[in-house]
Amino acid sequence: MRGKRNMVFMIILVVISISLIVSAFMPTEPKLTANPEKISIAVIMRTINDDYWRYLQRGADSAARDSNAQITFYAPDFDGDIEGQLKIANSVLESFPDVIILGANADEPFSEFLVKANNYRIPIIAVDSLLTSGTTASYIGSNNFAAGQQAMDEIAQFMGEKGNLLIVNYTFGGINAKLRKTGVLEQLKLYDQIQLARTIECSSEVEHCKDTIKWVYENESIDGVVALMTNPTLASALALKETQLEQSIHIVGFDSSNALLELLQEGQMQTLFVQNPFTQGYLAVKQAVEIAGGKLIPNYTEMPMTKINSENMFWLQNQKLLFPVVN
Amino acid sequence: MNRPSIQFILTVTFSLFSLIIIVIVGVLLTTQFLNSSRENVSRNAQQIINQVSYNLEDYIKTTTNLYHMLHHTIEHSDSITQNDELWKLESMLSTRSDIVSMTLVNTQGKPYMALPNVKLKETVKLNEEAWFKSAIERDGYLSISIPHVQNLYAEQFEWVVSLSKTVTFLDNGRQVEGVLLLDVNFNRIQELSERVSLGKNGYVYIIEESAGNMVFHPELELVYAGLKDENVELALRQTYGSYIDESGTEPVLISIQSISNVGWKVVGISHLSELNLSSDQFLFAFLKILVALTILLFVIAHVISSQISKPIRKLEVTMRGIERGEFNVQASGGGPLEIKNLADRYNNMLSTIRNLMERIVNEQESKRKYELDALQAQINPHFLYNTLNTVVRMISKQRNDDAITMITALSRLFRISLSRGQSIVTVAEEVEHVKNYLIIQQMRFKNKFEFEIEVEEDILQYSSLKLILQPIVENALEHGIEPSVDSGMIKISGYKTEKDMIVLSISDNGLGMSEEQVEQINKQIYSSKKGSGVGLKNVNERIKLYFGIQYGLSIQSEIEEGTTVSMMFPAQQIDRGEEQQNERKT
Repeated sequence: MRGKRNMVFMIILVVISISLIVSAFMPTEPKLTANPEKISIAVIMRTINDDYWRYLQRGADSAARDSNAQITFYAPDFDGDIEGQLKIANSVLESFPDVIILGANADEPFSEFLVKANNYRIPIIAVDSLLTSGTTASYIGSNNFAAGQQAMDEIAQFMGEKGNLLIVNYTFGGINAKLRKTGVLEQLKLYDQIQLARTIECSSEVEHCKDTIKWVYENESIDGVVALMTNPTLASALALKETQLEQSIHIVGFDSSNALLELLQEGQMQTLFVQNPFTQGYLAVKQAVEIAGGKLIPNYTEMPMTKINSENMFWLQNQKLLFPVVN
Repeated sequence: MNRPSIQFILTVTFSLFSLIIIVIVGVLLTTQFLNSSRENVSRNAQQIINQVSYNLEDYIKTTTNLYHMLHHTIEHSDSITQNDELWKLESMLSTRSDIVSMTLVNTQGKPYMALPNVKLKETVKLNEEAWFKSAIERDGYLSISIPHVQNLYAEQFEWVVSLSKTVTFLDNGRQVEGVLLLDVNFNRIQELSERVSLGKNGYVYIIEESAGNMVFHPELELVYAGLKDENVELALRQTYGSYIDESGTEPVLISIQSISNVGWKVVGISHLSELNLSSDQFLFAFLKILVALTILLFVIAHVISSQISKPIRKLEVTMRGIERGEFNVQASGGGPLEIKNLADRYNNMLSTIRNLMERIVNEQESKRKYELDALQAQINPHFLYNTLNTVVRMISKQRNDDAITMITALSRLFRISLSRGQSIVTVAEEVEHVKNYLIIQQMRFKNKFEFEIEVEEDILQYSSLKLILQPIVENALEHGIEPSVDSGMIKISGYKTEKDMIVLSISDNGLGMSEEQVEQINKQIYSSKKGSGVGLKNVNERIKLYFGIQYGLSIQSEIEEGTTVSMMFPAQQIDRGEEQQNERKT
């Protein structure tokens, strides 16, 4: 009967309108409701005992706070511990985080790990150290090979493009030190009047290294030094400070610390190539969140190195880079 | 063109009208509410910012005061290197947790004193530092720097704000001109700025006006790393007030307050969505209510209008019965008052129609009956018998001409009487009929009377009822002429009045009637002494039936003088065809 159908229709309409009114008066949930499922990110660092990695961790934490991610940090005790880090990495893999951010201590030893991670469908974001033994979702870091070339150019300038060159490396320099050294050596080929006098490898014992370098300064005629990591740079500059030599030895180094900056200001070295670990950590976590949400991330995010010398180190822009605000 | 129904018109009009009103009122209220809420929130945020700003001003003032105290002490001490002097200064400094260091240098930048008493680095050229240059430039006035990294102590690179001013002091009796530097860190500033409640995610930052450098920000690292942006341009453009900024990912409320003397501004950021004031949310809720009310109103309008239109429709359905010839179905009077009245009127109309129809039927029946009676009377055997007898006598006396006249008149008489069954004839035919009758009767009565027929020529073609003149003449002969001794005269006249009425009158000069008799007859109670009683009553009734009640017979009479019977009916052109059809129907 048409009349009855009409009535049913009217009743439905009334119900709809009442429910609309009720829903309009109920306070709406704010859009910022936390996802019931937080993204879990595991960050495996080279070491904890290093300012560089501490700043990277700070940057990562900052990004995690903004992005509603659960972040856990792992690291071996020192940056030369490849076995230890690998063990940590494998056990982290078994806990099935959504994304792993990895600053690897070595390249080849991690190839199996990368394959396993791929099988588990866990994306790996390489940070600071480039991994070539397998595929990673992306790499955030510097082009260390090019940096090595730039370092060579820099020291060549100070050396007047002639003289004896000393390369000071770090045993546990990992992937970056290797790349930088290769860059330096490549670029060295362009300077036929510069000879590579010697290559020294420092351990984490700065004192011991410094003594070795001092001996080299005093007994061999060195005009320029390229130090590839923090410790070698520190050792080279300290060695120079303690040596009273007539000829000037120019030093170009990598990374920074308060001590290094102090030495730079004193003139014990000429140039420092400085990275930005805070931003690296921040961006790594941001990308991890994106990829966990199924979005595309760039394959390679280059972090440029900044050339710091005693003149520009107190420019406001560089102050911000070199001296982290301690909260 | 389809006409809209009452229900449609009512529903649509009502709904539309209500909708318009709701929208207007709703929009007005909403904008009012939103505006005043926004104002409230702005005011609230502004007050908070003002408070922070006052606190900061206070802090800067106390710090500046401390500076001036130090400045004063140094300028008025006999020798600044004396221990108790140092102790005095040190105790002043120790009251504050945010003081990093105090340094006194001469105009060449050579340090004289530093507290805490830590060795300054040798590599630094103090007279090239910004705080130094600014103090010298603004000789005698206090300079407050933007945040920068302190470059005084070995391996110590702390972020500080520097207060510096030129100073004159005594060193071993010699007057030295120099600059007094006080370095302060962010601790207090941070404390003051953090204790702010601008919603769950709101915060305060401080910006320096001249170059837009950030003095303090809760996420200063991110800002320095270029990873976080603030809409600094807006903050720099305005000195005071609250503004909505939609340039970022979310709309935010920016509240600004300038701190005098320092060239700093306090900026507060509140997230509008938290304060539930993003107009989108509100508009959405309003829209829901609007839709809901519209639906409700629509339903109400529909229900109300159906209360009106349903009974009307029911009435209409009932009325359709007439088309099928059902005059007996009553309409039910449900629904509102007007509908009930309508139904009652309709029912009355129906019963009136029924009565009229009954009357018509009755009238038709009467017509037939009277006609039949007249006709029957016509074919009165006595009349025929007598007439034929007269003819036989005439023939036996060889009065052939008279016989022919009589037979001819008789045949003419009967032909018109029958008139193929029609009730309407022309006046001419009716006159002819009565003439033939008179001819016959005159011969029978042996010329006892004379007759005259004077009928206007122009009424001859009008219609007349059949057999109306002859019965009157018969009456006149019977009651007026025959009893009278004298010879009689019957005069028949006919004319048309100005009002298009036809008047036919039959006058005789016979006995006449008394007034009482006339009265009786006029009351149409006619009882005849002889004959079939057709006569006057029949003719009268028939005239009334055919032409209307207002027409008919009238009688005038005087005893011994005579009687005139007149009949009146409207002049109508004859329409034989219609009449034939009507004959077939009944």
